[in-house]
Amino acid sequence: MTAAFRWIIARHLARERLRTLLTLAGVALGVGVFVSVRLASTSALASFTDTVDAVAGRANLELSGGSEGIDERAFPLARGTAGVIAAAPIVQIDALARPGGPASRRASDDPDAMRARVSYPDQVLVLGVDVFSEAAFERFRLWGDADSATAGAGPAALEFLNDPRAAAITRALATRHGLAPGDSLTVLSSGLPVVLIVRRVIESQALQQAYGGNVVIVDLAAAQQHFNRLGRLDRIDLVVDPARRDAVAAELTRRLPAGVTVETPRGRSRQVENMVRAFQLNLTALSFIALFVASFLILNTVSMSVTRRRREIGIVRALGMTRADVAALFVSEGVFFGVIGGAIGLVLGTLLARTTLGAVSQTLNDLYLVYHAQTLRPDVASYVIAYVLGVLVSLAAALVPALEAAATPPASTVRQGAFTPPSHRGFGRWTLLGAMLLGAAALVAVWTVSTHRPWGGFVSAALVLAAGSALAPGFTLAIESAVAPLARRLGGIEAALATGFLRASVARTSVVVAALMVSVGMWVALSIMVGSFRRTVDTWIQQSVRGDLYVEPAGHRLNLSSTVLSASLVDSLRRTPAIAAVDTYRGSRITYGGRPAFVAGIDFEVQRRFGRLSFTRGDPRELLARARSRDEVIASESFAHHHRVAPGDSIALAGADGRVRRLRVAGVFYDYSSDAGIVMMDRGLYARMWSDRTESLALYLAPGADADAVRARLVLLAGPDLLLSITPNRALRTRVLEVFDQTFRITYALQAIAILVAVLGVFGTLTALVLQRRREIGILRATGALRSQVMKMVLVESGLLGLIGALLGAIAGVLLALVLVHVINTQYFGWTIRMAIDPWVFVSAVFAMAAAAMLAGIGPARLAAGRLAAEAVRAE
Amino acid sequence: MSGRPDAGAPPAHVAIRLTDVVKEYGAGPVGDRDRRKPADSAETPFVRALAGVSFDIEAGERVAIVGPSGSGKSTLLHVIAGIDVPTSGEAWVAGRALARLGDDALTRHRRDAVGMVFQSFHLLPTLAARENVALPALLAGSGERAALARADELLGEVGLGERRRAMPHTLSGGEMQRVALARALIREPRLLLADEPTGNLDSRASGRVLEMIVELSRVHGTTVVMVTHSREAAAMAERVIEIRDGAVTGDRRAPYPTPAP
Repeated sequence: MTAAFRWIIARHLARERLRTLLTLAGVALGVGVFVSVRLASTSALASFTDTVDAVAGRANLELSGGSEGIDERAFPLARGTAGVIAAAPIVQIDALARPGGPASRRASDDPDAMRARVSYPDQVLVLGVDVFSEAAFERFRLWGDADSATAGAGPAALEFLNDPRAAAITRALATRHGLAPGDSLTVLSSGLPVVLIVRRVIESQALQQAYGGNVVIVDLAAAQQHFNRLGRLDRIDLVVDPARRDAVAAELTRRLPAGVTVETPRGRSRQVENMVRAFQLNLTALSFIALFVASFLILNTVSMSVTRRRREIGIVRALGMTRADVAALFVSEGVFFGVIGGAIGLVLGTLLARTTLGAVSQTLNDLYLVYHAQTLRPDVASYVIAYVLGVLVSLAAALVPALEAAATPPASTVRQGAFTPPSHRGFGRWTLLGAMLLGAAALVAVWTVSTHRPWGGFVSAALVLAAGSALAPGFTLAIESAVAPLARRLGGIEAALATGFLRASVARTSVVVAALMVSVGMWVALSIMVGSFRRTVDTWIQQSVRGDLYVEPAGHRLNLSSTVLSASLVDSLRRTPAIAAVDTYRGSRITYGGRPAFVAGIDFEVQRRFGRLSFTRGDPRELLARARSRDEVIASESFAHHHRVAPGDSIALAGADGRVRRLRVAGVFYDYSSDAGIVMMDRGLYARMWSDRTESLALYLAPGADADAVRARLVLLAGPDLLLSITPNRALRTRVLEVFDQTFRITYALQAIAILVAVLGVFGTLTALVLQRRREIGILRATGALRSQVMKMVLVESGLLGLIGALLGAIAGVLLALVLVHVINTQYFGWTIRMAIDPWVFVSAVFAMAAAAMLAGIGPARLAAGRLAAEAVRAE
Repeated sequence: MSGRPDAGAPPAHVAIRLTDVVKEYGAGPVGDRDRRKPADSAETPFVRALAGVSFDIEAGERVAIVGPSGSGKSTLLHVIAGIDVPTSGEAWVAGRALARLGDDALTRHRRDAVGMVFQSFHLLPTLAARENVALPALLAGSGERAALARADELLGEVGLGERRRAMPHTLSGGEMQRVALARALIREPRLLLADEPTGNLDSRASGRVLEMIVELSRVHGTTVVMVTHSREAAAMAERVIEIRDGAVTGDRRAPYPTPAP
């Protein structure tokens, strides 16, 4: 078989160099996009997992209490539990950082909160550790220690931390900023810059990777002081007898307050993985589209190869090649594309992955507050999966034409003058199959929604694409019949010939139509979905973001828990005449039903009077008043979806004191801030359950009040040390939409690549068709067709191909959009998106595709009109 | 596939036995139940190419099949080669009843028992002369090196030793037909079938090809069946079968009566 492959397939591929290269490029792009997205999302998560592992050290169990933390009185309880070998209390803060002293405050009171990033370029993980508890965990290997490990040196190794300003930083951070012992480093997490003095450099290898290498260690008490964590711990790390871990965990759960979660460090990573799974899955599904489109390219290339070599197949069949060998030969052609194109794709994907990682981890950071990973970690599994997938897809794509080749009877091609007339047989069957697949897609969609099986949405979408592919031949013929008279009238004889050629080769061209359908369909569907989603979100912000100014300490977003705006500041603002109302916000990350979620306290009374939260049902004002007076909560749509909660149901939440309260859900409100889900309650209830701190404010100005004057007063009230970011309503809305657009930017990039692959298909197919029609074109030229007429003919044909593909794609796109909006989105994220179709989407898709296809036709048209025609005439 | 595979087989000295072979296009072939229908069967309008042909050809015999265009000569050859499947009737070739063979067995029959030379050569354009010749051996599982060595020998025998690496488009018609002949011989078939082997050649080249075919049958005892229009070609045969409208209208021993000038 190897010699047969080399002789029969490889030489043909070498002869048809351009087509081979185009197909390889298509496969390489398909595999490349897939691998880059996978590498990016695994890198983003691996970075999180590595951080958890590195920071955990030898800890095999950890206690945490959401973002409100754990009361430090729980520490002796935990340490005293039977089976616990060692325990270490930890305060953990995500903060902004800059080498040297604090930045001048001008930069950070800029209306745009993101400007703080300019003066504080790094994001660091600050760990407050207890000098006396660390030895057993062996996580901080310090430079210059006699035996280089905290374990060996005992508590003495970390003694330098007794100075509340002292810090140890990782070698990676020190190198990046040229920091040496004695230099200062300023960290900012809740508006108040904290200046630390670097005393030691941490050499532990694992920590150089954790959090991008940006880890800072300070003393526990100092951390509590600097970061508003007095009396609170973020975690208690435990080393327990591994054999009795489960029993110890059970005992700890029993002894400690209800709000404290006992889990393994791995468990924490898994929670985050679960939270971002839907996002990753959707991204992966999208990244597969380019490869799917490339499969049509392979199908077409192998198909063309079979058609052009029908006679040769007949000869080798007559000479004794079995059907199975013929099939294997052409399958091997497809596999060749998978093997070589896939390998190029892996390299390409690795190059693309860095850019992709930036986009993916920015989105994970924006939506899920997962640390913004910057280091790409190529993993073998991603490469293997992408490569195997590329080869399998190529093999599958080659199967149909390979079987067609195997069915070639030796007689039909060796018989003198035998030719295969264009056959439209079987198109009816394809159309019927298409209709059945559409029906199946609808059934699966209904089933998915009624049984809450989110993955059914992908099956339904795949069925829509399969249906569109099956309908492609019939659709191509139908549209060709419909537009042919018009084309003839407008385009003359050339257009008439073009439509005739299109009709004659519909078995081939419909594969291109299918490829175009997939890429245009996805494009249209995503445009509709994203457009509808954006409009929904925009309406939502306009309704729910009613405050005039939003105030938070700089760095707040990184670290929901540690920020506090003083009560005196809030009171002063309340007394300011220009301010009609002040809504206070505080929030906490919790784990509910095994999933991360948020709980927030706001002022329901202010919300009732000034806000416009929109609920799935019920009057917002009545609902909020009732919830406030009866200690009820309101849940976001995502929360209600994930936890199957409806108005009137109760949810159980454990407060900071460990007491579990059953709270009735008064209503479900629309919220698109995060698909993790959020539960909101009145600030009074929140204060009773957790704490009475304020993280951020929404200010409603009195009519006619001057926003700038209020800003100035606010800065004055805050005092010289507190860095606030004050965002006007409009800037906040813009920022939300920016995050939204950023989230979908990668989606569009993936789609653009899929379209590029489809256009490569048009180019390749037309070139092959032109070569195949060498004889007809030669006769045309011989009988007086001008070069320009031949070119026009090919261009009309390519434009028509683009048009037909785009039309079918537009129809498939609407159906896909329905699945995306009403099945996939609701099932995975629990968001209601009001579907709105912008007709411009269709107009632009259809025109752009027809134009792109026509552009792709220029090369083949020149080929047809030039050298080739001359050769053909001579041959005749 | 009923009964023993050799039930009703002709005696060993009979290389080919056709009994009432009918070939119609536009109708299903015999044995359709266990073979895939040729793709063209439903496309072509109904044509009866062979209308009940019967004859025996002895092993080692040199036979010419003559007749006007469209008389069914090539179809007859294709049926014997196992390229076409008869609609009815029985064809025993090289000890096998072709109608009882599945597609793979029929393919092996073509590969192992039959060497075929076509009028328009049917060389693969991407393969050099020696590779074209080696191809059937390779398909039968020979190693590449051995197959190419044997191909070189055969090309030497047909006088193309120097041209063995030439690509088909650089060869003359006579050279191409000699390459095709060498290809037909590489599996040392018991039966050589030639469809108008001199149809596209000038008189010098056709003389050379015909000499080789006669030589082959004399030396190796290969049975030769040759479809031809050419008097010269028919003159080389020991027996001439005449076909008209799909039926045998004449079957005589050579010399073929050459009309007076």
